[in-house]
Amino acid sequence: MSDQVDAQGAEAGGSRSVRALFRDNERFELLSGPRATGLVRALNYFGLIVPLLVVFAAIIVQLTGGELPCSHCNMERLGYFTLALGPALNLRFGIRPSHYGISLAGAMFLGTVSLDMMVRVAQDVGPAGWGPVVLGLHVNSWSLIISIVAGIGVAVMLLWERQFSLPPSLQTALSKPIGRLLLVALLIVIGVIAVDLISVIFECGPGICPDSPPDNYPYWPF
Amino acid sequence: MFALVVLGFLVAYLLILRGMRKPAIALALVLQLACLGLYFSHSYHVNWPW
Repeated sequence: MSDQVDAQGAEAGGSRSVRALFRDNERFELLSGPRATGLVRALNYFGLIVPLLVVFAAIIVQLTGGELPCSHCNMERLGYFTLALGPALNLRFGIRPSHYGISLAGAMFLGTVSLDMMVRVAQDVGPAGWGPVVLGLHVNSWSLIISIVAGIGVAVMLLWERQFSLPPSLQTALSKPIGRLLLVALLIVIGVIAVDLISVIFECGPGICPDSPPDNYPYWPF
Repeated sequence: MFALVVLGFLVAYLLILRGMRKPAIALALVLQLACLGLYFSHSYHVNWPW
C-alpha cells in the first residue's frame, strides 16, 4: 500500500504546496534536484569543518597560552572528531542515514562529557566556573551548546528524506571521484587530528590523561 | 591508551580518504565504545542524584 502511495507521489512529481507536507499521496519538493544537492553538500561541508575549527582554535590557545587541556577537554575533542565523521562519510560516499547516525553518537558523547564537566565544576568551583571564557561563556559551556545544536541539526537532516532519494547522477556528484575541495578539507581535518595526537602523546603518554591539566608536558623528551 | 584512540580517529579519516567506507564505519563504532571506556575511566567524584 505504501509502495503504491510512493509510486503515485513519484509519478505526480514534487509539489511546493504546504498541503503536500501533510498528504501521503503528494511529495513536497521545495528545491530542484541540483539545488537540493548543493544545499546538502554545503551543510555537510559546514558539519565537517566547524567541529574541527573548534578543536583547531583550542590547539592554538593551547600552544600560544601554554595552557594544557584537562582530560574532559581532551575527551570533548574526541566528540568533535566523531561529529565530523558523518559529514566526511556523506561527502565521500554519498548521503546515508547511517552516516548521520555516527554524527548523532558524537553529539551525544560530546554533550555527556560537557555536562559531566559542568556539574563537576559547579560542585567543586561554584558558579564562577573554570577555564577560558569566549563571548561570555566558558569554553566547556560552548561545547554543551554546540553538542545540542549539532544533535538538533542531525535530527533535522534525518527528517529531510528527499536527500536520500536524489537521482543517482546527483548522488555521484556528491562522492566519486574525490573532488579537490573535499580532498583539501579532509587533509585539513587529518592535519588537526595529527597535531592533537602529538599533543596527547606528550601530555598523557601511554596511559589516560591526568584529571587536572599539568603545568607542562610530562612526557616531553627534551 | 588515550593516544591510541586519537590515532584511531586519524586512521578512520585516512580510510575515508582512501575510499574504504565499511572499514571506516566499523572503526568509528569501535572508537565510540573506546570513548565510552575512556569516559568511565576518568570518573570524577560527581555526586549525581540518581
